[in-house]
Amino acid sequence: MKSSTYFLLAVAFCLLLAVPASYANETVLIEDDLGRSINIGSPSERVVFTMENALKTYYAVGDPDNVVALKDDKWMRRLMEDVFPVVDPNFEDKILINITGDQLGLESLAKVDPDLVVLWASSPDDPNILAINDTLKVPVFAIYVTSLDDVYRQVDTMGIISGNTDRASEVKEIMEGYVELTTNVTDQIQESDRPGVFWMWTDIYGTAGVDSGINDLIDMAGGNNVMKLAEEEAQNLEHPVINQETLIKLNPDVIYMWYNEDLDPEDIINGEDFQGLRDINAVKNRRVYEISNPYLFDAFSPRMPLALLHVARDLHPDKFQDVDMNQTIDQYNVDIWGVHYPSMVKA
Amino acid sequence: MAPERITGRSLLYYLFLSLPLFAFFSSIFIGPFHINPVQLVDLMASKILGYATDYPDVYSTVIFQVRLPRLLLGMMVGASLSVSGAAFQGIFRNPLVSPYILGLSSGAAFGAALSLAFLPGVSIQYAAFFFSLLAVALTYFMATTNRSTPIVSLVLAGVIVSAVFDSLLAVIQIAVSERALQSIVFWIMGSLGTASWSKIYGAFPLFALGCTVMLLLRWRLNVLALGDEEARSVGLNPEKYKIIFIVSASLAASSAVAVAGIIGLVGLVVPHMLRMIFGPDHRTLIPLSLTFGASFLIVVDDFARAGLGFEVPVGVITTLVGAPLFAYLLRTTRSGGWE
Amino acid sequence: MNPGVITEGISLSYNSRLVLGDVSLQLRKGAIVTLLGPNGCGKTTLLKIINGLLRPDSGKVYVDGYDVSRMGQTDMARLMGHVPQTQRSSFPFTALDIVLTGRMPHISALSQPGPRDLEKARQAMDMVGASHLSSRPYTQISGGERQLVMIARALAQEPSFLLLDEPTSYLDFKNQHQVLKMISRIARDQKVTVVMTLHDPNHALMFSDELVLLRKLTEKECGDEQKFKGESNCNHQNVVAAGRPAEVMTPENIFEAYGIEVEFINVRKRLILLPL
Repeated sequence: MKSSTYFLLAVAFCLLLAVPASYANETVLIEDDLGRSINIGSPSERVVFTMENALKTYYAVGDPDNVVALKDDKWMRRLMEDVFPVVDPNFEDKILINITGDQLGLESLAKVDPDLVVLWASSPDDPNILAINDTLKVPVFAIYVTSLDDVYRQVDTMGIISGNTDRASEVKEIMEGYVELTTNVTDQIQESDRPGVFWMWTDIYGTAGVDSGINDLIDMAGGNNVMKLAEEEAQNLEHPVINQETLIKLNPDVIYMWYNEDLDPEDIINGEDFQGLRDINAVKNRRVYEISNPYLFDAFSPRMPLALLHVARDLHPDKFQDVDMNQTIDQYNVDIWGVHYPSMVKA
Repeated sequence: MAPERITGRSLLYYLFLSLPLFAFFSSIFIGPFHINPVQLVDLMASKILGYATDYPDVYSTVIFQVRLPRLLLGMMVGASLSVSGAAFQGIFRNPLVSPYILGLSSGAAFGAALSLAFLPGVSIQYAAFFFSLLAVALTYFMATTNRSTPIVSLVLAGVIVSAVFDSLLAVIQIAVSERALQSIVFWIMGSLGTASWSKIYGAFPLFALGCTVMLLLRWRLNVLALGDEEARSVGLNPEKYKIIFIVSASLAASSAVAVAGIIGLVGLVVPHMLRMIFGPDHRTLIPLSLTFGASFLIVVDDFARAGLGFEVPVGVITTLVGAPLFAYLLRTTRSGGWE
Repeated sequence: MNPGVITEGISLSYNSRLVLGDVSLQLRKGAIVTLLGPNGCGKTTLLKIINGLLRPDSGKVYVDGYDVSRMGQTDMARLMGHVPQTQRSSFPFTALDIVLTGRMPHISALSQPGPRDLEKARQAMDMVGASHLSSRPYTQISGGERQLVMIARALAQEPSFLLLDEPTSYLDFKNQHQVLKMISRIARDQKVTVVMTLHDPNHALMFSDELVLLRKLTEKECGDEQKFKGESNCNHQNVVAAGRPAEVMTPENIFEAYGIEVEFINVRKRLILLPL
């Protein structure tokens, strides 16, 4: 063959190699929740989610087929029926990444050959981030949500990851619309009419500090987090644990319990172990509420507007008399995921 | 032993015996909810003497439903852990022994975690109590061969049983949600923050039973501490008394752990400190462990409940306060009361 | 019944090795009896069996006519005081606290030592000449002083029989003599029968009223092929001889027990045994 033929062949070969590159997705530089800059494909096509709330946001925005694997915590998910299998018929077939303690199984991660891993981390030195960076060289997006703004930002993030920024904007608008259902009412409430709220996590005296997302939620729902009145060193913790006496001193008008299998509001009001709380306004006026439906209450997911409405209705029952909660929940699920609730039928 | 003459040491002995009174009456005034000391005294007097006062209801609730139960529970827990620590150290003839040597704490932690994670219907206290005693029983039976229970076998069996329950606990911790995990960790650290009269009523009978037995038989710990054969040759059956002391010390410690979680170092440090000051005679050591242990824990708990705006697990502070105190005594008394 | 200590056919194996084989003895009440023999001859074991601390595989022990295997521990502790060879204490108990534990068999179920017990403990310390040690921590006194304290502890039991296991071990030359002299004095003054083990034949000669010479048993049972060597190489009985010291301590008996040749010399009317 002539040398020109070799040349042409070589050029053709080079072009062949270049083809995938020219078809490849647009690569974008984004910042994750911990401020780390990472390069990801938009859309990323082999995404691993190890964080359920983020997955919920993703399912509202992007193509579920691009999610290749999940963390192996299926048994926990079964506690609550959720939208995933309705949105995504292949949901049950996703590959599961095994997890030991908090450590993701690197081998099973390597096997699915992801182009992006989304995980929860509170620090850039998180062992999972370091391990994945060292071995798999796959971009890692760290989720770290502490405020309601972070929830909105997560919708944007999922828009970029899925390459579906238009739908992301739409979802944000829907969410904002539902949030306004509440805030339009609660914004009008005078400071003096805002009840003091003590948020009760499952450890009972563990509560939400003033810098927490729950604090924002209480504000938006027309209440005041009583921790604003607490000693400075306590209020600035994300999850301060106070004692009975401090709680009596803070004297909340409302005690709002996170979903607690061991305890009901009635136990707080009349239980033998809580006799010390009997002079608190919330107990005297029987204003102890519990998140009775944990399905609604992942406040750090797109369901935040529903959680907000739920709290606001308990804080100000008179102002939300016209709201049909069941209908609102159903409509919201249809708007965001296209699924009816509680029937879990595709809309 | 009641000293025969009033000497410096016997004065100190009576001072230590009366410590709970001082500790109690200084602690009752301390707390995040501010109550004027004069009003507080008036309120307490009114309750005792039965006259009426016109203070807000919340004052009396804070004193009688919050502070009083917490102080009493703290005294009970401190006394239980210290007395059983002293008894275990005597049986094992070793100062490095705590009430948790036979796996009691590991069993309790597992039981509590089991209840927190998977058995919401079963109360944490009962689960912790049951599994702590189960762990001790397993240790004892593992260590017993041919109707004798050598100390070394007990220590080794305790290590094994603890390790097994620690592993089971780890399995639970891996499987549970983050919130439940947080509750488990907090419980394990130990706290008096959830004190209430019902907890006191629940824990008191076994605390009283265990401590009474140990108080009554305390001199026999001297006999036992010399060695099994030495005990047998003066007519004391070491196997029988080992069981009696292990059962009563475990009952007292388990009932304390069930209501307050695993409060570390008290059961190790309190008897040891007393031994450095008063010597090893269990006739003084056991009653002093009762009173000093009770006082030590409520004073430490004052920091836990009122030192900062938030609740610090008291187990953390017992360690932070106990360790330097211990180090000081270790360095100032020759041979640390031990050879 | 017969007072004193009687053993009938005591046998004991340890780790399938025969330690004591068919030991039958009669020890006279009121005497100082020494069990003598080489290491491993079973003298300590025999002492523990007499005191009920060990159970023999077969045989009976009677002390003052009582069957030891049927006695309660408290009764036994009132009858016999035992001074072990090793003295340990992890706790720095005072010497008096240690001696006080000897009052155990006289203290009822839920009570503690009273003033009378304290008095008895002090007397016991007086008897052994250790009153000055009363408030000293046991962990800080010498080996000889500990031996005295443990003897006082056994005396505080107010026993009729005092069993001592190697009371001279860990002691220096002077203390060995003083302790043995003190033991014989107490035996006479308090009318206590003493049964002790010693490993120095000269001590045994000097301080005993009665002597039991023991030997170590051979590893194997006697086979036919061993018989021609004579009984000394093939035996299943520990007792070489028992009786008055002068009768027991013959060069032949000592050879049988220890396997060495000895001669006796007479110094100021005292027999001294010397290895050849």
